[in-house]
Amino acid sequence: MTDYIIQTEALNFQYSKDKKVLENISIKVPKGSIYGFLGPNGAGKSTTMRLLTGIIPEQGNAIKLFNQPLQKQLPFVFSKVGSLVESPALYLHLSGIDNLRYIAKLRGISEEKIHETLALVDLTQDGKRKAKQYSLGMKQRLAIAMALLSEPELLLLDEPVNGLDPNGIIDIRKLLIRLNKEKGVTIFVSSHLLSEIEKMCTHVSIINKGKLRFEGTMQELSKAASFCKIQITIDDAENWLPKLENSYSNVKMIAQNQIVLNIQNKEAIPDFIKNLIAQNAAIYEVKILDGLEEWFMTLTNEKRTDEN
Amino acid sequence: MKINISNFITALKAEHIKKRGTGMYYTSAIIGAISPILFFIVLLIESTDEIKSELPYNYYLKFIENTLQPFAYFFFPLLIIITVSRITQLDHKNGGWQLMETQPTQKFSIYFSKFFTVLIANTISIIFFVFVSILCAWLLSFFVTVPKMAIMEFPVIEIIHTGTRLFVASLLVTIIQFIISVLISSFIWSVIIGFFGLLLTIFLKPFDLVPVWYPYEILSKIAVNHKGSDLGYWFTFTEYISVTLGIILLYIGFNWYRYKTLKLAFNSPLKISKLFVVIFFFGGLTYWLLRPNQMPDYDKTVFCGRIESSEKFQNIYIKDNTIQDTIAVIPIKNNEFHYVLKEKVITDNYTFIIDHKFQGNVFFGQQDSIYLDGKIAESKSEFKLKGTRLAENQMNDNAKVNWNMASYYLQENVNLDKPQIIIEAIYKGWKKETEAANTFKTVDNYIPKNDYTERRQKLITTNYLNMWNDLLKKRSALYPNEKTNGGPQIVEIQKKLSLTDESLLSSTDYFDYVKSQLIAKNNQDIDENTKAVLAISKLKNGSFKDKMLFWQISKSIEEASTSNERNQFVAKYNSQFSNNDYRKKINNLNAIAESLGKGKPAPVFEATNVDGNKVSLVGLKGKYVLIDVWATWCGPCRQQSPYFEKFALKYKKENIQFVALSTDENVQKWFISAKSKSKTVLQWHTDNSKLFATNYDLETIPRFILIDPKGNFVNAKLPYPSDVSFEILLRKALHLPEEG
Repeated sequence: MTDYIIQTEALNFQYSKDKKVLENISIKVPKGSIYGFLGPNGAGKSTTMRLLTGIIPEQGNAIKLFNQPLQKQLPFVFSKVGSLVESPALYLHLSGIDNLRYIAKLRGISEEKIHETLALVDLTQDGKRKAKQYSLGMKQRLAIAMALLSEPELLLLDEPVNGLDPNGIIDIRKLLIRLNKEKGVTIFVSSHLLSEIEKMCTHVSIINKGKLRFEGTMQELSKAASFCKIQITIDDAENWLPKLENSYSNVKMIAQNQIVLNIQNKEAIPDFIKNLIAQNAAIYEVKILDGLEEWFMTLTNEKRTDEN
Repeated sequence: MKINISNFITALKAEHIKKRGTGMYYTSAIIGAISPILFFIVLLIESTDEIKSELPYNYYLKFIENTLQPFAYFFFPLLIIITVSRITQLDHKNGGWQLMETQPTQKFSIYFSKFFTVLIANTISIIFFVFVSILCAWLLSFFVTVPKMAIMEFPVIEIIHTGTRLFVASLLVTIIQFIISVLISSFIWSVIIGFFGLLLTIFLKPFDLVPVWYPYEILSKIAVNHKGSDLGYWFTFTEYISVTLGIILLYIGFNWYRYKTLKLAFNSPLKISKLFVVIFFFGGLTYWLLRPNQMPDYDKTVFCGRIESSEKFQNIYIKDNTIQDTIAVIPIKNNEFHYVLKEKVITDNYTFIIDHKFQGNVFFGQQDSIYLDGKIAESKSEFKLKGTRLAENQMNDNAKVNWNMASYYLQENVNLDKPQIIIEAIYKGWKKETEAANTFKTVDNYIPKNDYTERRQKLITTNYLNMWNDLLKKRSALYPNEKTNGGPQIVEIQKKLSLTDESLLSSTDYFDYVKSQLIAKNNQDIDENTKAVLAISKLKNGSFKDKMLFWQISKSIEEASTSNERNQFVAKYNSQFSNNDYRKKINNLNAIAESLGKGKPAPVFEATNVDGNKVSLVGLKGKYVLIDVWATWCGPCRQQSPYFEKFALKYKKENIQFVALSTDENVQKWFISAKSKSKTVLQWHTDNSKLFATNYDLETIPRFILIDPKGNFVNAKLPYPSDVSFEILLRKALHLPEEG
């Protein structure tokens, strides 16, 4: 039996009687995974995050952390859990070091750990500066450092790369992957960016309008999104149209020299191009229109149309 | 439990890391120091070296008491509002509440570590307030002359007392601000609510509408009653209320925070029953504290006490206020006394007199135990009456002169043509004042016994009925043909007052009212005094009649214009008394009035002049003598003295000698003061002021006495020299023509 760090069984939540914010959310986060929690803004990600951290009290008893009901473990379960919920919670009037010192005091961690963790998020140089002078990225990194400080078994991160520049995003991603590999930290990370999740997660679930749309490993996700829509720019498109229609589905001409069609997956694209070139086609451009991203969009849009 | 405490301590330490750089504790220290420093500066600029005669007091304590007002009324509550707002804003602004809740820290620790930090800030402020006060007072002693009656000891216990009272009294304000500031994330609301609460006290205070449990009122009470409980308790009842109400609110506030909404906080039977236990217990305590107490009767009638003074005193006389009859002479030993009154004492106001020099008013009666706590230094005295009539005597001392519309109308003759308006004003004023008579309570929540309250209400009723009589009189003079009808309102007031209540006859107001009712129907064309005495003599014999008659005859003696008229009057009615004491007393009064009358010889007295020689009136025979009786400590005397000297210079060439006769206890003070006065006026000092006072019926000073060249009175009670009639009478006596 797999060891689940987080487990929810039909988690429901509503602020008022008629509006359910979360409906029957059941997720299982295996130990040692990087679990992506994906969904557009307003899908219920933050509510789920807040429920998982007990910031808002649960209406029921559906959440288990470390195989124990969450409510019974509050607040001491947090000695094993580091979290970053919503906008980074920092004390702007304090220096980076003092912010960490505050967490260290609450968690009973020695002060030596502070510099180590600062180095980990690359803030050693700025430790003595006040947090209010930090850039958005630095604040985000400091907040992550505060979550990491006690080397928790579980990290709950809500949109951790929000507001970071590309380099920062890459750094954080590397850091998380490293923590996961080296220290076996289970990471639960929410995001509205599929690309972000795609790049680091081992497991993923998709939520929209308070309902769970998908849960599985990354491989299962790829399989589920097992088609790829591409657009090619090609001379003499009219002639090519019937030829392509024979071998591929959904072939449509959208402009004089542009055709869209579906192929099995991304991996099939090189062979597809070779094949066309072998037939002397003049190809100017091949573009993936519709990958996992598009699938994700349909998944989440579908719901919208359902409701209307 | 152990985990809880260590978790709390960890949170508290973390809280102190968090507040780094905010300077919160420095703010507390500075705000604590503001009011003493301001007071110090004011004293430095404003201080005059004039030394007023005062009772001994602790120099440092007095400084603290003076600075307490701005601190307890304004700076301290201000600090609480600021501190609480800042400490909660640290987390509201930065998402700290969520951060803290995702740490292994109990909500109890989160909530109370913050609250405790506020309490530390309060304590720092109080400590700085006290110490800066002492420091400023000490510094001041180098710049300003310290009065010699000031005691320079450090009042350690009193400081701790004031400090702890401030701390406890501030709890309720702190708790309320804290609860609001935690729940409302906007900083502006908690500040607005705080300031509103603070200002509301100031607005409502003049109308007496501030309830005793009002948080800011509890705090400001410290400045009003800096000595605290009258009964020797460390805290007063309002300070206990600060704690009991505070605990209830803190319990609700914490659970509200813990479960995010009030509904979630109390949604299960267990939570509700816990809440009920808390409310029941602490609410019950609050109710018990708020309920007013009345002193129980004592099994004997006791008058005891202690006088703090460097002098030694012999006796205390207790006299009734009607005929000045001495009902007890109590010996004082080592300035302490204890006396059981064996005879029945009618519950009433009495005068206590210590060795003929110091006196005060005391309300007591049968089965009361009165403790007199007195302080006497030279001519100054202060008396506090404790025991079973604590509240009554405090209420007597604090009696406010009530301004009311009706008396204004009557005084200024406004609206006399519209009696209904005045009747309305009388009724309203009466209603309000009789109700207000029920509202007095002491610092320890003791209220007067019912007999006192009822009596007071009767006296108020008397006062208003006298106004009504006044109105009738004025109306009948102005509009003789119109009838003035009091209507149901006046009837309602009249119903409340009996016309034969002997216990009220120590009040001349009641006498006036009864008299007015007795003579109301007499339309004969004779003067009021005659009408009254005729009516009184028709009353049934007994003590009520005696008292009425006594008032009336003494009034007539005072108002009689000739010796003959007075003697006739006394001779005619003095036989009507049932009680011989009254007769004797009237004869006495008459004798004194007689002895001070025009043409009677002025009693001889001995005195000393500035050169230390014995002098007396005998040496001034052949000249008119105008005497100004005064003392250095007497303010009105100092005021009149320049006028007196002016006339002395003006009439220097006439056959008259001006004499300033001092009755000072302290000869040294008189000497210094007399040396600096005009040489035209002879400066004398009485050798026996008691004897002088008796012989000359000296009730108040300054007193101006004119004696003719033969040594007989021209006028024993001249008006003040500042009065125009003074000079007219003087010129008349000297047979000088009127001035153009």
